[in-house]
Amino acid sequence: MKRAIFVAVGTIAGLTATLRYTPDNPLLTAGTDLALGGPQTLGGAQSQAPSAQGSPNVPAVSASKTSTPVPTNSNSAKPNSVKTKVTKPAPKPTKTVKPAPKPTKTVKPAPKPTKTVKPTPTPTKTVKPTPTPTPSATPTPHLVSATGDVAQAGFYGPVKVKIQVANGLITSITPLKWPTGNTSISISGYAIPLLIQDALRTQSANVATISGASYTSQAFMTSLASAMAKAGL
Amino acid sequence: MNTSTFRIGVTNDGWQRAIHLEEVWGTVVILEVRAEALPDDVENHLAEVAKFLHQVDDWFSTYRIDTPISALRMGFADLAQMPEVIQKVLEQCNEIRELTGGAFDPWAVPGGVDPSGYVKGWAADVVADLLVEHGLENVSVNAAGDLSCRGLQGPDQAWVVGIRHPFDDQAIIGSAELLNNAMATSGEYERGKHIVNPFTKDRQLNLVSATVVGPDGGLADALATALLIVGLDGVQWFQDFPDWSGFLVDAQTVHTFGPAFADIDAAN
Repeated sequence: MKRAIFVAVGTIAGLTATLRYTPDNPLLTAGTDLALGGPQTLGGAQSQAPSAQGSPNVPAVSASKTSTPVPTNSNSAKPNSVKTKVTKPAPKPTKTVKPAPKPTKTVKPAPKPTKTVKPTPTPTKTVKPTPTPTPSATPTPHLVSATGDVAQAGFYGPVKVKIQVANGLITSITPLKWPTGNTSISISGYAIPLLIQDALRTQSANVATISGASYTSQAFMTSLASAMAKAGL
Repeated sequence: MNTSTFRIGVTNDGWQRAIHLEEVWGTVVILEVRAEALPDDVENHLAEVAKFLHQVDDWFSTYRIDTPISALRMGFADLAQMPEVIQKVLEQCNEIRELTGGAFDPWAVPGGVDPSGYVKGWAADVVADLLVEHGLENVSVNAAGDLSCRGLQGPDQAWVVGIRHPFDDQAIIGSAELLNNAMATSGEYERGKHIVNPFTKDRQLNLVSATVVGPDGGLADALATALLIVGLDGVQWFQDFPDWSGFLVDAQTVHTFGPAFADIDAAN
């Protein structure tokens, strides 16, 4: 599998354009401009062991003022931030509804007949980036590191990861062993860093899991799981 | 290869959690259950329910020639000969095709009918419901990015699900609470998906990423892909679905609708 995932390094600087979508559809809430970062590096394999992705309970989305138009080819650009407010998980009353299991469902899920939704476009507000709450002073961080078992990635070869844990949160994941060789370049060069990022960011922001990210390496997850078990997570 | 593993840990809130990873469909499906106290044999329940994923593969895999769907695609069998579950899924797909004016069209892809754009989200729902049947109330199923949640992730806390940032694979761009809901995200960044625009027959897409939240995982999966193709005009499909929500990203802007994203401030 040859993928030109990692495009040569380059920078986009200075271009500013903020397009604004005026919703002609009454169902749409007014748009939130993406504030796309200034000079940025394109592509490039992600670092193998990024340090902790933000502090606990802070969504990994930051705000930035400058805007840069983004090429729609997502391979070639990665604006580094988006100005949007991440839903703060507000405690909800315990309400455990058990939907009756239904293998196939009708397309119209509970059609509520007459209720045309017309959310009035939310008036423009100035975004106040959620201030980073200073982490409650923890006297001495409880540091643990653990190495996962070697897991076979089938066709691709062995995977082994090491994790660093501080106060119950993983701060880094280092692949000690992962597939090499022609056939597995895309696995080690692409999937493993992606998986590391997923594993790190899910534990911040109280987010339990992530939509839109597919997990391509069972072996990575297996080794990570055993490392986490050893670290008592 | 259908190895699986699990681990048990404790959340910050003191709840127990167990995770099961099932390698299937060329990816990994993650089953997670949480509770103040999980049953001792939780691993068995997880493993038992995860078998359904392989059953789904046996029915719907278009990568294997020994599946009913492949027989249908190759013309060796007709619809009436298909297992009931395939007939039902295709009926659903047909209704969604009508709902979306053809933007979601499993019959328009090269190689014959392919309901894969519906099946992953549908299967996540079924697995979540099966886990509930096994007495596990607090469940999240992540079928390669298509989510289905039941119950809570912790004391008084609905499941919080992040949305992958379409431009930055290290970040999430937003999140939502799911209370017995499904979330599906479709993105241009998914190179492997090869989404074909049924109108233009090319790969032209009108959004960078589309996320749909609603009570039906298969429908959410299909509508996320259809929105990605059609763009903001597709929001009209949700006119009669007030309990559905969307989080749409184009090159410059995030657009949201529905209750799941109601508290996201619009900003300049």
